Amino acid sequence: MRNKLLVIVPAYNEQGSIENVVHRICAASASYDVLVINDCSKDKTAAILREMGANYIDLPLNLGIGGAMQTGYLYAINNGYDFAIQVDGDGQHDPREISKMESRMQEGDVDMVIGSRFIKKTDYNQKFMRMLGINIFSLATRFLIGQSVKDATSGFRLANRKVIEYFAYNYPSDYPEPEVLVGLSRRNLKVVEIPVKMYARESGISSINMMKSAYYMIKVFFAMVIDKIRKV
Amino acid sequence: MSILHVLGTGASIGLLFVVLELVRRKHLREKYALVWIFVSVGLIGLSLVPGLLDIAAKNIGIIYGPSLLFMVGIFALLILTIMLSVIVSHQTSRIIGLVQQLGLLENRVRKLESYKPAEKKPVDSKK
Repeated sequence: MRNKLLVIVPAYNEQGSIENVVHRICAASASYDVLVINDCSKDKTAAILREMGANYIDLPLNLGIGGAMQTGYLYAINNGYDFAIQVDGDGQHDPREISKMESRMQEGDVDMVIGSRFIKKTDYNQKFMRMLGINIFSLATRFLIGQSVKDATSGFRLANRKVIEYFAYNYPSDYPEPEVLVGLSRRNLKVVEIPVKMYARESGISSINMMKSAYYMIKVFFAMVIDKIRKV
Repeated sequence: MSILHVLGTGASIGLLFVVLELVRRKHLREKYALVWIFVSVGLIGLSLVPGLLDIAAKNIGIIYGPSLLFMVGIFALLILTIMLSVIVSHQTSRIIGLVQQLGLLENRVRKLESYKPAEKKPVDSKK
Protein backbone atom coordinates (compact mmCIF):
# COMPACT_ATOMS: atom_id res chain seq x y z
CA MET A 1 0.00 0.00 0.00
CA ARG A 2 1.21 3.48 -0.82
CA ASN A 3 1.93 5.84 2.01
CA LYS A 4 -0.14 9.00 2.13
CA LEU A 5 2.17 11.98 1.60
CA LEU A 6 1.41 15.62 2.27
CA VAL A 7 3.50 18.35 0.71
CA ILE A 8 3.49 21.39 3.00
CA VAL A 9 4.39 24.64 1.28
CA PRO A 10 4.99 27.54 3.66
CA ALA A 11 4.54 30.83 1.80
CA TYR A 12 5.09 34.40 2.87
CA ASN A 13 4.86 37.02 0.13
CA GLU A 14 5.49 34.55 -2.67
CA GLN A 15 3.11 35.91 -5.32
CA GLY A 16 5.86 35.60 -7.94
CA SER A 17 6.59 31.93 -7.42
CA ILE A 18 3.78 30.19 -5.54
CA GLU A 19 1.71 29.21 -8.57
CA ASN A 20 4.73 27.66 -10.27
CA VAL A 21 5.77 25.84 -7.13
CA VAL A 22 2.34 24.22 -6.70
CA HIS A 23 2.19 23.26 -10.39
CA ARG A 24 5.68 21.77 -10.25
CA ILE A 25 4.74 19.66 -7.21
CA CYS A 26 1.61 18.36 -8.94
CA ALA A 27 3.65 17.69 -12.08
CA ALA A 28 6.22 15.71 -10.07
CA SER A 29 3.57 13.20 -8.99
CA ALA A 30 -0.21 13.18 -9.10
CA SER A 31 -0.26 11.23 -5.85
CA TYR A 32 1.02 14.13 -3.71
CA ASP A 33 -1.49 16.16 -1.75
CA VAL A 34 -0.41 19.79 -1.53
CA LEU A 35 -1.19 22.15 1.32
CA VAL A 36 -0.01 25.75 1.08
CA ILE A 37 0.24 27.69 4.32
CA ASN A 38 -0.17 31.36 3.52
CA ASP A 39 1.50 33.00 6.51
CA CYS A 40 -0.53 36.22 6.35
CA SER A 41 1.23 37.45 3.20
CA LYS A 42 0.93 41.14 2.44
CA ASP A 43 0.96 40.59 -1.33
CA LYS A 44 -1.41 38.71 -3.65
CA THR A 45 -0.39 35.19 -2.51
CA ALA A 46 -3.84 34.48 -1.00
CA ALA A 47 -5.69 35.72 -4.08
CA ILE A 48 -3.53 33.57 -6.37
CA LEU A 49 -4.15 30.48 -4.23
CA ARG A 50 -7.91 31.09 -4.22
CA GLU A 51 -7.92 31.67 -7.96
CA MET A 52 -6.06 28.46 -8.77
CA GLY A 53 -8.23 26.41 -6.40
CA ALA A 54 -5.29 25.20 -4.36
CA ASN A 55 -5.70 23.56 -0.97
CA TYR A 56 -4.44 26.27 1.33
CA ILE A 57 -4.61 27.60 4.86
CA ASP A 58 -4.83 31.32 5.42
CA LEU A 59 -3.26 32.21 8.76
CA PRO A 60 -4.93 35.34 10.20
CA LEU A 61 -1.65 36.50 11.78
CA ASN A 62 1.94 36.11 10.65
CA LEU A 63 3.49 33.29 12.68
CA GLY A 64 6.84 32.88 10.95
CA ILE A 65 8.10 29.77 9.19
CA GLY A 66 7.93 27.57 12.31
CA GLY A 67 4.35 28.41 13.24
CA ALA A 68 3.30 27.98 9.61
CA MET A 69 4.99 24.58 9.28
CA GLN A 70 3.50 23.42 12.56
CA THR A 71 0.04 24.23 11.18
CA GLY A 72 0.86 21.90 8.30
CA TYR A 73 1.94 19.13 10.68
CA LEU A 74 -1.30 19.53 12.65
CA TYR A 75 -3.21 19.23 9.37
CA ALA A 76 -1.22 16.09 8.53
CA ILE A 77 -2.26 14.53 11.86
CA ASN A 78 -5.91 15.55 11.48
CA ASN A 79 -6.03 14.00 8.03
CA GLY A 80 -4.09 10.83 8.69
CA TYR A 81 -0.98 11.35 6.59
CA ASP A 82 1.95 8.97 6.96
CA PHE A 83 4.57 11.36 5.60
CA ALA A 84 4.86 15.13 5.34
CA ILE A 85 7.46 17.05 3.42
CA GLN A 86 8.29 20.74 3.47
CA VAL A 87 8.78 22.40 0.09
CA ASP A 88 9.48 26.12 0.32
CA GLY A 89 7.19 28.54 -1.48
CA ASP A 90 10.08 30.45 -3.04
CA GLY A 91 10.88 27.58 -5.38
CA GLN A 92 14.34 26.71 -4.09
CA HIS A 93 13.37 23.08 -3.47
CA ASP A 94 12.89 20.86 -6.51
CA PRO A 95 9.76 18.68 -6.12
CA ARG A 96 11.26 16.08 -8.46
CA GLU A 97 13.61 15.16 -5.61
CA ILE A 98 10.71 14.17 -3.34
CA SER A 99 10.46 10.64 -4.72
CA LYS A 100 14.15 10.10 -4.00
CA MET A 101 13.65 11.19 -0.41
CA GLU A 102 10.51 9.08 -0.14
CA SER A 103 12.27 5.92 -1.25
CA ARG A 104 15.02 6.57 1.27
CA MET A 105 12.36 6.88 3.95
CA GLN A 106 10.67 3.67 2.83
CA GLU A 107 13.78 1.73 3.68
CA GLY A 108 12.30 2.09 7.15
CA ASP A 109 15.38 2.71 9.27
CA VAL A 110 15.03 6.50 9.52
CA ASP A 111 12.39 8.93 10.76
CA MET A 112 13.36 12.06 8.86
CA VAL A 113 15.11 12.62 5.55
CA ILE A 114 16.81 15.96 4.91
CA GLY A 115 17.50 17.07 1.37
CA SER A 116 20.96 18.60 1.52
CA ARG A 117 21.84 21.38 -0.85
CA PHE A 118 24.64 21.58 -3.29
CA ILE A 119 25.13 25.27 -3.43
CA LYS A 120 24.93 26.60 -6.95
CA LYS A 121 27.07 29.48 -8.06
CA THR A 122 26.51 32.57 -5.98
CA ASP A 123 28.88 35.45 -5.44
CA TYR A 124 31.85 34.61 -3.30
CA ASN A 125 31.03 36.76 -0.28
CA GLN A 126 27.56 35.36 0.19
CA LYS A 127 28.76 31.87 -0.45
CA PHE A 128 31.51 32.27 2.11
CA MET A 129 29.17 33.66 4.78
CA ARG A 130 26.59 31.01 4.13
CA MET A 131 29.12 28.21 4.11
CA LEU A 132 30.56 29.54 7.34
CA GLY A 133 27.13 29.46 8.97
CA ILE A 134 26.33 26.01 7.65
CA ASN A 135 29.70 24.65 8.79
CA ILE A 136 29.27 26.10 12.26
CA PHE A 137 25.90 24.39 12.56
CA SER A 138 27.40 21.19 11.26
CA LEU A 139 29.96 21.33 14.06
CA ALA A 140 27.25 22.20 16.58
CA THR A 141 25.17 19.18 15.62
CA ARG A 142 28.21 16.92 15.85
CA PHE A 143 28.89 18.27 19.32
CA LEU A 144 25.29 18.24 20.57
CA ILE A 145 23.77 15.15 18.96
CA GLY A 146 26.85 13.21 17.91
CA GLN A 147 25.86 13.29 14.27
CA SER A 148 27.29 15.73 11.80
CA VAL A 149 24.37 17.13 9.83
CA LYS A 150 26.02 18.88 6.90
CA ASP A 151 23.08 21.04 5.95
CA ALA A 152 21.31 21.67 9.24
CA THR A 153 19.53 24.74 7.89
CA SER A 154 17.86 22.98 4.98
CA GLY A 155 14.08 23.15 5.18
CA PHE A 156 13.63 20.44 2.56
CA ARG A 157 12.66 17.67 5.00
CA LEU A 158 10.52 14.58 4.82
CA ALA A 159 9.05 13.49 8.14
CA ASN A 160 7.36 10.22 9.05
CA ARG A 161 4.36 9.91 11.31
CA LYS A 162 6.41 9.78 14.52
CA VAL A 163 8.22 13.00 13.64
CA ILE A 164 4.99 14.66 12.49
CA GLU A 165 3.44 13.89 15.85
CA TYR A 166 6.44 15.36 17.64
CA PHE A 167 6.55 18.51 15.46
CA ALA A 168 2.82 19.13 15.77
CA TYR A 169 3.31 19.95 19.42
CA ASN A 170 6.99 20.95 19.59
CA TYR A 171 8.17 23.30 16.90
CA PRO A 172 10.03 26.58 17.39
CA SER A 173 8.40 29.55 15.69
CA ASP A 174 11.49 31.06 14.13
CA TYR A 175 14.61 29.46 12.68
CA PRO A 176 13.40 25.94 13.55
CA GLU A 177 15.59 23.83 11.24
CA PRO A 178 18.83 23.31 13.19
CA GLU A 179 17.11 23.47 16.55
CA VAL A 180 14.68 20.58 16.09
CA LEU A 181 17.56 18.21 15.30
CA VAL A 182 18.46 18.21 18.99
CA GLY A 183 14.90 17.42 20.08
CA LEU A 184 14.67 14.60 17.53
CA SER A 185 17.95 13.08 18.63
CA ARG A 186 16.89 13.14 22.26
CA ARG A 187 13.78 11.18 21.35
CA ASN A 188 15.86 8.67 19.41
CA LEU A 189 14.29 9.70 16.12
CA LYS A 190 16.77 9.04 13.34
CA VAL A 191 17.72 11.69 10.81
CA VAL A 192 19.54 11.08 7.54
CA GLU A 193 20.72 13.46 4.81
CA ILE A 194 20.67 12.78 1.12
CA PRO A 195 22.04 15.13 -1.53
CA VAL A 196 19.49 16.99 -3.65
CA LYS A 197 19.65 19.74 -6.20
CA MET A 198 18.52 23.11 -4.95
CA TYR A 199 18.00 26.38 -6.69
CA ALA A 200 19.85 29.34 -5.26
CA ARG A 201 17.70 32.07 -3.90
CA GLU A 202 18.96 35.44 -5.01
CA SER A 203 19.39 37.94 -2.20
CA GLY A 204 21.95 40.58 -1.42
CA ILE A 205 23.80 40.80 1.83
CA SER A 206 23.34 44.02 3.79
CA SER A 207 24.36 45.15 7.23
CA ILE A 208 20.85 44.41 8.46
CA ASN A 209 21.23 40.87 7.20
CA MET A 210 24.52 40.62 9.06
CA MET A 211 22.80 41.72 12.26
CA LYS A 212 20.00 39.27 11.65
CA SER A 213 22.46 36.47 10.98
CA ALA A 214 24.27 37.18 14.22
CA TYR A 215 21.00 37.15 16.14
CA TYR A 216 19.97 34.00 14.28
CA MET A 217 23.16 32.16 15.22
CA ILE A 218 23.02 33.15 18.87
CA LYS A 219 19.31 32.41 19.25
CA VAL A 220 19.56 29.00 17.59
CA PHE A 221 22.67 28.00 19.54
CA PHE A 222 21.01 28.97 22.77
CA ALA A 223 17.86 27.04 21.86
CA MET A 224 19.88 23.97 20.85
CA VAL A 225 21.77 23.89 24.13
CA ILE A 226 18.52 24.30 26.07
CA ASP A 227 16.96 21.46 24.09
CA LYS A 228 19.94 19.34 25.02
CA ILE A 229 19.33 19.82 28.75
CA ARG A 230 15.51 19.91 28.62
CA LYS A 231 13.50 17.07 30.09
CA VAL A 232 12.29 14.74 27.36
CA MET B 1 5.52 66.85 58.71
CA SER B 2 7.63 68.35 55.96
CA ILE B 3 6.46 69.21 52.48
CA LEU B 4 8.46 66.26 51.18
CA HIS B 5 6.48 63.87 53.37
CA VAL B 6 3.21 65.36 52.24
CA LEU B 7 4.30 65.01 48.61
CA GLY B 8 5.48 61.45 49.14
CA THR B 9 2.29 60.43 50.90
CA GLY B 10 0.20 62.16 48.22
CA ALA B 11 2.05 60.39 45.41
CA SER B 12 1.69 56.99 47.11
CA ILE B 13 -2.03 57.48 47.64
CA GLY B 14 -2.28 58.69 44.02
CA LEU B 15 -0.63 55.45 42.86
CA LEU B 16 -3.15 53.39 44.81
CA PHE B 17 -6.01 55.31 43.21
CA VAL B 18 -4.58 54.94 39.72
CA VAL B 19 -4.32 51.17 40.23
CA LEU B 20 -7.86 50.91 41.60
CA GLU B 21 -9.21 53.05 38.77
CA LEU B 22 -7.44 50.89 36.16
CA VAL B 23 -9.06 47.82 37.67
CA ARG B 24 -12.46 49.51 37.77
CA ARG B 25 -12.20 50.40 34.07
CA LYS B 26 -11.06 46.85 33.29
CA HIS B 27 -7.71 48.03 31.91
CA LEU B 28 -5.96 45.95 34.55
CA ARG B 29 -6.94 42.50 35.72
CA GLU B 30 -7.38 41.94 39.44
CA LYS B 31 -4.77 39.19 39.25
CA TYR B 32 -2.09 41.63 38.11
CA ALA B 33 -3.39 44.55 40.20
CA LEU B 34 -2.77 42.87 43.55
CA VAL B 35 1.01 43.28 43.43
CA TRP B 36 0.63 47.00 42.65
CA ILE B 37 -1.85 47.47 45.46
CA PHE B 38 0.63 45.93 47.91
CA VAL B 39 3.39 48.18 46.54
CA SER B 40 1.33 51.35 46.89
CA VAL B 41 0.14 50.43 50.40
CA GLY B 42 3.76 49.81 51.37
CA LEU B 43 4.79 53.17 49.95
CA ILE B 44 1.98 54.91 51.82
CA GLY B 45 3.17 53.30 55.04
CA LEU B 46 6.76 54.42 54.45
CA SER B 47 5.64 57.97 53.69
CA LEU B 48 3.37 58.26 56.72
CA VAL B 49 5.96 56.93 59.18
CA PRO B 50 9.19 58.72 58.19
CA GLY B 51 11.42 56.87 60.65
CA LEU B 52 10.36 53.42 59.43
CA LEU B 53 12.78 53.24 56.51
CA ASP B 54 15.78 54.33 58.60
CA ILE B 55 14.97 51.86 61.38
CA ALA B 56 14.65 49.03 58.88
CA ALA B 57 17.91 50.04 57.19
CA LYS B 58 19.86 50.26 60.44
CA ASN B 59 18.61 46.86 61.51
CA ILE B 60 20.14 45.14 58.49
CA GLY B 61 23.31 47.21 58.57
CA ILE B 62 22.55 49.83 55.94
CA ILE B 63 23.58 53.31 57.07
CA TYR B 64 21.71 55.37 54.49
CA GLY B 65 17.96 54.59 54.59
CA PRO B 66 17.03 55.47 51.00
CA SER B 67 19.61 53.04 49.61
CA LEU B 68 17.56 50.23 51.17
CA LEU B 69 14.58 51.58 49.26
CA PHE B 70 16.58 51.61 46.01
CA MET B 71 17.87 48.11 46.59
CA VAL B 72 14.48 46.63 47.37
CA GLY B 73 12.85 48.65 44.59
CA ILE B 74 15.29 47.61 41.85
CA PHE B 75 15.15 43.99 42.94
CA ALA B 76 11.36 43.98 43.02
CA LEU B 77 11.16 45.55 39.54
CA LEU B 78 13.62 42.99 38.22
CA ILE B 79 11.50 40.10 39.50
CA LEU B 80 8.37 41.75 38.17
CA THR B 81 9.75 42.22 34.64
CA ILE B 82 10.92 38.60 34.54
CA MET B 83 7.43 37.56 35.54
CA LEU B 84 6.00 39.72 32.79
CA SER B 85 8.36 38.14 30.23
CA VAL B 86 7.10 34.74 31.33
CA ILE B 87 3.50 35.87 30.95
CA VAL B 88 4.20 37.30 27.48
CA SER B 89 5.90 34.05 26.41
CA HIS B 90 2.97 32.01 27.67
CA GLN B 91 0.52 34.22 25.82
CA THR B 92 2.60 34.02 22.64
CA SER B 93 2.31 30.22 22.69
CA ARG B 94 -1.41 30.45 23.25
CA ILE B 95 -1.90 32.95 20.41
CA ILE B 96 0.14 30.77 18.03
CA GLY B 97 -2.07 27.80 18.92
CA LEU B 98 -5.23 29.81 18.37
CA VAL B 99 -4.08 31.19 15.01
CA GLN B 100 -3.20 27.67 13.84
CA GLN B 101 -6.57 26.22 14.88
CA LEU B 102 -8.34 29.16 13.25
CA GLY B 103 -6.46 28.55 10.00
CA LEU B 104 -7.22 24.82 10.08
CA LEU B 105 -10.91 25.46 10.75
CA GLU B 106 -11.18 28.08 8.02
CA ASN B 107 -9.65 25.60 5.57
CA ARG B 108 -12.17 22.96 6.64
CA VAL B 109 -15.16 25.29 6.45
CA ARG B 110 -14.11 26.45 2.99
CA LYS B 111 -13.94 22.85 1.79
CA LEU B 112 -17.30 21.97 3.35
CA GLU B 113 -18.96 25.00 1.78
CA SER B 114 -17.65 24.22 -1.67
CA TYR B 115 -18.73 20.60 -1.35
CA LYS B 116 -21.87 20.08 -3.38
CA PRO B 117 -23.54 16.71 -2.88
CA ALA B 118 -24.79 15.22 -6.13
CA GLU B 119 -28.42 16.26 -6.38
CA LYS B 120 -30.88 13.45 -6.61
CA LYS B 121 -32.75 13.56 -9.83
CA PRO B 122 -36.48 13.35 -9.36
CA VAL B 123 -37.96 10.14 -10.68
CA ASP B 124 -40.55 11.92 -12.76
CA SER B 125 -38.74 14.67 -14.51
CA LYS B 126 -41.08 17.43 -15.60
CA LYS B 127 -38.92 18.26 -18.54
